Amino acid sequence: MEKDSISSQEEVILLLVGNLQPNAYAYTLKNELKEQLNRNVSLASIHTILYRMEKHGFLKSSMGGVSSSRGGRSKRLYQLTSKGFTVVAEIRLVRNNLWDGISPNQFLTSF
Amino acid sequence: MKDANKTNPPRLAKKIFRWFASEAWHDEILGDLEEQYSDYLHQHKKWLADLIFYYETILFLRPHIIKKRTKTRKVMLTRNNIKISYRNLVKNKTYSLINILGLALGLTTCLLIYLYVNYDTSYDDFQDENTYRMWINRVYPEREVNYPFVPHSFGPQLVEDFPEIEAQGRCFKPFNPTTVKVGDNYYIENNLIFADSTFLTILDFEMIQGNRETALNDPNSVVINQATANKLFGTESALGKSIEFSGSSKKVSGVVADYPANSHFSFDYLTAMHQLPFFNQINWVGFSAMTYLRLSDGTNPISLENKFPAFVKKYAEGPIQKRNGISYDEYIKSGNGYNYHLQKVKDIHLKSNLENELKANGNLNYIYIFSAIAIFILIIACINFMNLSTAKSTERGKEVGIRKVLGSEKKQLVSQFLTESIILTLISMIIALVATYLLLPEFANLAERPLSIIQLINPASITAMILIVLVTGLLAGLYPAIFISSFKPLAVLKGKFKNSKTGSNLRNGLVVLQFAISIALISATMIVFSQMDYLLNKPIGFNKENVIVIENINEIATNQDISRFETFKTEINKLPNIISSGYTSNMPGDQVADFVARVPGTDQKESMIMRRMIFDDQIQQTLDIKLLDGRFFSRNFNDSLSIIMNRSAIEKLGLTNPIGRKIQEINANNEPIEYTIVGVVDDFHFQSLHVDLKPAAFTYLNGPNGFISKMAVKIDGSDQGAIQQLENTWNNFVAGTPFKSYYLKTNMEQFYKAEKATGKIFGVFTFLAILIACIGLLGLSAFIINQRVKEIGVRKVLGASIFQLLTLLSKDFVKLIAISAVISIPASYLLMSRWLENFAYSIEINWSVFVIAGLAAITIGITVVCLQTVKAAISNPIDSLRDE
Repeated sequence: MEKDSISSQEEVILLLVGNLQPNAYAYTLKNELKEQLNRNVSLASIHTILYRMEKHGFLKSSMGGVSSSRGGRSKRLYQLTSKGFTVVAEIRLVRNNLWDGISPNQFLTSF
Repeated sequence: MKDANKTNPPRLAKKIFRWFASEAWHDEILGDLEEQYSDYLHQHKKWLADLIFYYETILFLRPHIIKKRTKTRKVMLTRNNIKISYRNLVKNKTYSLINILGLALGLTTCLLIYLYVNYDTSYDDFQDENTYRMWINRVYPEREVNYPFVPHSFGPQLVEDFPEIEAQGRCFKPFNPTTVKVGDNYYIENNLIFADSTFLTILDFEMIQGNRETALNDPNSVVINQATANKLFGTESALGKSIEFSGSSKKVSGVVADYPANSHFSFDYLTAMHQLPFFNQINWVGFSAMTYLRLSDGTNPISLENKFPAFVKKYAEGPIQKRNGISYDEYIKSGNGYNYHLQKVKDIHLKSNLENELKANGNLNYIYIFSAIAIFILIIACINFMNLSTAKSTERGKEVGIRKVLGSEKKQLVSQFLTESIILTLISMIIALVATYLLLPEFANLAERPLSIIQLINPASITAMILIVLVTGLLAGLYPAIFISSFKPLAVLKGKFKNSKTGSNLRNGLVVLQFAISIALISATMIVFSQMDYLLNKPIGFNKENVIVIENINEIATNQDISRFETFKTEINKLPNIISSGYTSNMPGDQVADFVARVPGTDQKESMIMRRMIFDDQIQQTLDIKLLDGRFFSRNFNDSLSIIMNRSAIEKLGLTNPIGRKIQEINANNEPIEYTIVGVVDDFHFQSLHVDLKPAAFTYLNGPNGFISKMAVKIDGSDQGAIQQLENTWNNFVAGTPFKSYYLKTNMEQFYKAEKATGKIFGVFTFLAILIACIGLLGLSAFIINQRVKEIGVRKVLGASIFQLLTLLSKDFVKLIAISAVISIPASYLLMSRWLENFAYSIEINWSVFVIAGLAAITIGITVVCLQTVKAAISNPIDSLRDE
């Protein structure tokens, strides 16, 4: 399991790809990151993460979708693979378990 | 159009991206970037959107995006490259040899010049940074003199008055040699220096024996250097031994390592200065001692210098007033000045030019000139290398064509050619190092400097050499590499070569540059040599031929018996081959004392400083000095208060009818001595021709302050026996002091030793530069003839004669050389006139020099070209025409 562990940044990207499908490519991801998480990330970093995730097999990609605002260039559209889905699902499971262990009251009394 | 431009992201950024990013990424990433850009354009100003576009683009500099460079690029010197280079070198033996030798020659010259320059700039590197020497710029109303000596009371008083001066040390070197006796052996020593007890701590001395703090405290102590210790005492320890100095016995209190040759200072014996009564008297005016000062850390020498005028006024005002009879301020106002300065000890050798230094100073200009020559020669050598490689490249056109057809990339070809040129440079450098090692003794001899190859073994020099190899290799290889690798394979394989206009312009420009440098060097060498010839043969107002000078003549008067001078002279004159002989205080070429004269009755302030020599009655005929008016000293008159002056002195004093006029000598004791002028002699050059003629006065040897130190003997013909006879006579008169003599002519030639050495070095470099330029021309003509070989063939078939072909082919080169002459002649004219300004007497630059230099260059050029051309012109046209 160790080698499939991913950073939270990567986790967010994977989740966003899942959300934006079938229109998930670097620039839409960047916009979503800004809107939903209020994070400013450069296109280059997003590309790097996508590249890495694809290499690990969490994502797959295909070329397509030419538009005039892109100077007539095609984009690389990403999709979550089942392996990628498993990874984020596992993270969610672990998190949920951990959340279950925290009682709000306990947290409050510690003040 | 404008709109399109407005919405388009900056093209440069895209270009940069395409340059560094691998092709696979171009579409999608540029797409994303542009999409983002078009969105930003709606929200922000264009310049901000542009900026963001640049920023985002640069961020893509990530390993997985950057283009993968091919392996050949990474390792240029692959084994294959080296193998091919070797095969090529062996295949074209003559070319490789010329190329390597030409470059090796250039590098050798550079290394030799580097050693020369390095030695000259290393003077006094080892001295303390805070040690300065005082010097004076003494201004007289009609002249200025710069001396390294200052009055000897200054040093100690300066230490007392200025807290920023930590210590001082003074020294003084007498003009005349000293006789030294150890046991039964006598030695004549020229390098005895009187020094302060602090002297060993002021300059850097390496003590072998003795204590530097106390060694010179005792007036009867002497410190010697290792060489002298070995000479006097052999292997025995010198410490505590006694040495006899003309009567007084001194004990060796210290032995010092031989002083480095690259210092302004040198000595064999150091003895305490305070044994001389003169140095114990107060002296604020007479320039008597070299004074070194050690300043405390952080002292600004300029601000210290600025305090000197007040110091001088405070102490020297009284004595100056007393001597001149007018107030100090008035004296300064009338155009006199005592300007004391400080100089770093390291700057003495190259950056100052004072009179009466311990050793001759170097000349910073020569350092610059030689460095420039080194760089020029290296440039010429590189140019040759480029030309030869380019020339050779046409023969390799087919190789390049095949390589290209087989899929070789341009950069692979470039790396192949660069490898070759770097290997060639490396071989040349190794040859150059060996050649430098072999030539160095000869060169050191020529340059009169103890140069050693060891100077090259230090990190800086080694790095410099490696850099030179790489830079020369790259520079020399880059042009041919790019030129050759840009051949169109199809054209090349068909047998056509690209002959671009820019390429030939560049090559022609290089030839012009080479020959401009060569012509400049040829004319400079010729001017240097004719100036030397002029200096050595200029009429100097007396006859220096066949004159032998006997030194230490005072020894004749044993027990102060002056009558012995007369008997000695009679004995000398009795010898065969001797024409005449005369006693004198100084010989031409020696340091001459000052003499302050004034004409009584004129304004008391109008005194004039001239030089004074003391003569006997026979000097005039011995030296053949021309008498213009009156008479010379004679035994038939009482001449003790007679004076003879030279023409410039009479002219400067403004005397129209000089014979019988009175002249007053003003001296420190303020008791003027009155002389009568009995004769006027023509000017003669008693100093080197670097300096102008000086007014001079001559007094008789039994006059006031009369003294003699030398005897001039005129012989008939340079008979070697004469010196032996003189020595025998000397030995009959003097016991102990050995006979010492020199030929006046040889001694006078010493003045121009530096120029002579420079002239020779110039000659050598000129020869090398021409040789290298010829090698270049050889390569270039080969190249051009190669390109025109078919034209030559066709012309021959159509009936052109060999002579016509030769003219045709050399015409272009002659044109180029003519252009170089036009460029270099004015430049060298200007440079050489500046050099000649170093001399008070110099030749006029004759235009024939440049004509000869230009013709020489053209002749050499044509010869070289013809050697190549003849081969092409006499070859059978079938050979060149059949493979079409």
